[in-house]
Amino acid sequence: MILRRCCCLLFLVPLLLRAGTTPIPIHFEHVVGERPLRFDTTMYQNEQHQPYAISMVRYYVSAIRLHCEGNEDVTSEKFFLVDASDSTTTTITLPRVPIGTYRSISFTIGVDSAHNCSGPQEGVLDPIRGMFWAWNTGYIFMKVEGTSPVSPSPGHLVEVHIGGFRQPYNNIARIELPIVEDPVRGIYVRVDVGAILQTLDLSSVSSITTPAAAAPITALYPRVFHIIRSTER
Amino acid sequence: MSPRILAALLVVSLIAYATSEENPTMRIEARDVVPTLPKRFGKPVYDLRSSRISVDGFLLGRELFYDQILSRDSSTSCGSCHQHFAAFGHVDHTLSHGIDGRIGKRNVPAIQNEIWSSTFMWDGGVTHMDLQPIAPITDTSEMGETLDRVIKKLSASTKYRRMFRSAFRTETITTYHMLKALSQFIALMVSADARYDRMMEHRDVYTDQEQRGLLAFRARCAACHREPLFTDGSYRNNGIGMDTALRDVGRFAITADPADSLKFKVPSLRNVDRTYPYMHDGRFRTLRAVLDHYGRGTFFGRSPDPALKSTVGMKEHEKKDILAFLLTLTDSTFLHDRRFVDPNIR
Ligand code: HEC
Ligand code: HEC
Repeated sequence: MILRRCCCLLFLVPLLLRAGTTPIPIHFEHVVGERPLRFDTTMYQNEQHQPYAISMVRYYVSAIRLHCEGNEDVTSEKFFLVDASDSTTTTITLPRVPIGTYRSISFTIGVDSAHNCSGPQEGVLDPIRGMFWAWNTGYIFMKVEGTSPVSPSPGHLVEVHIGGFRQPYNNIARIELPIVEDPVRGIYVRVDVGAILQTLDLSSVSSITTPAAAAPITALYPRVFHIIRSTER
Repeated sequence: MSPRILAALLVVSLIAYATSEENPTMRIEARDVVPTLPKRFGKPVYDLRSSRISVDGFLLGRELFYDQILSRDSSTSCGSCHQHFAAFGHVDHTLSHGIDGRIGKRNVPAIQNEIWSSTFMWDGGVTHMDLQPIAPITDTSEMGETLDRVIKKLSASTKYRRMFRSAFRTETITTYHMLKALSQFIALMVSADARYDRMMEHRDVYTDQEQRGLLAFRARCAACHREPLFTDGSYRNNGIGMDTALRDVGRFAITADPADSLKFKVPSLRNVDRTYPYMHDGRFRTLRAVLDHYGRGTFFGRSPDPALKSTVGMKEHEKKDILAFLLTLTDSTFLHDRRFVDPNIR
């Protein structure tokens, strides 16, 4: 009888091990300052009181890492293309994360130099996605586009294309954010798109499309990416 | 074999011939898609092992190269700008002509020996041979199309679905395979059989004048136009000065480094007799005018290249010798290679 019970427990071991992991979704929520991001029709204002509307927000997230307290980090080698207008892309799920205490999450906004240099790529890195500079080989890591009546560009376009993987304009950016919940069930990252346009003078700098011009923008990322508690939502 | 069977065989082979995808003047076989790799040229930069060339891949690449389907209004193919008889450059136009008669930003360069090149375009902005075609396809003044629409058009074509299937065993047409096919065609564009090459391989001899030209060239020009590719792949300011219309800053647009202002990639001089007009903006119509520029010694721009010193003060007879030598770089084997002929011209 006792033997039987032991056998049953043995059978449970693999189940328990499997139960020791859980999928962790990472949600990217897009806002402009305090307001939720709405495309095209909603007007926002930057520091210089210049009105603008947003029509596109897309960026590559890669090399995601969950930093574990006392245990091995969880890493993902995949590339994700987040498109703020497409809810199927704004949640990235790490399928099997061991249950534990996680201190922080880090990820790259951009594409590492190996994938920029080794010829055509497939999947989300297919140049067909429009996140690629044809005349200056390399991926566009982040695209923010919109319009502003003060923009001198044709159609009053505002475009910020951030890319560049070579020194001195290496714009591959690593973001690390604290994880505030334990146990963690989901991670909420607030992406303040407004921070990118906040300090730009859209009446003169309405189009940023080179690695050199984009370099100062990546310095704004600490104001763009924030972690939030699920209860704050 | 009975005459009947023979006749039947003849008919069958004639039908096969008539319906074949290829140019009837030339059947492409496995040995036709082995790239020529002269030892003198060194190891190719392009990785031919991981991007192996197959007959079907080459045929698909050639079909795409000559097909206007890659442009927005079906008016322009790669071959419209890159003409075989001009070593895949474009004679006469100083700047490229694209869809809607739009004028491009630069002179169409030759396409030859690309597998030995690590960067492409006059400013070296493109860093992988496979990725080069995306630039003209998506440029509004060249083919003005989006990759998305190109792939949709190709996927809607029975011919291309069949050709991609035979080349890559794939049912879905992707950017990746389209680029790989174009590269299989471009990789074979090797110019290595000019009189210069035959002379180097002791299969031909130079006249006295050509020989003098070679020596003068080596003394005056080869610092930048290095043998045997006739480029060292570097970016230099050869002192022609900024063009007044487009104000093209060259390499500076890629690196944003002021030291790169007005630098352009040293072009190969192979088939240079066929690639007029000359320079990134096509400003010189003749080789004579080019030589006069170098010999005059008036160089413009912030920092003309120090190596230009060697070109200054060419004597008239030297110029004539160098001209005679430059003509020995014309590779008629390459210019008449039937593998590269547009398959739809019969
Ligand atoms: C409208 C004319 C035009 C069309 C169409 C065109 N090209 Fe070009 N091509 C050019 C010009 C101009 C350049 C040089 C561009 C520059 O330096 O900015 C060039 C450069 C190149 C180069 C680089 C050569 C070198 O050594 O630097 C290759 C390879 C090439 N083209 C292949 C293609 C292919 C493949 C296609 C078809 C998908 C194509 N081109 C379509 C005009 C054209
Ligand atoms: C300092 C390096 C340098 C030296 C020395 C030099 N060249 Fe050049 N050459 C260049 C560069 C760079 C270009 C392209 C410049 C441009 O398009 O703006 C060029 C372009 C050319 C072209 C035009 C090719 C084409 O297809 O458009 C010819 C022809 C040429 N050189 C011939 C010569 C000859 C002959 C000599 C010797 C008398 C010489 N070069 C010496 C750097 C050099």
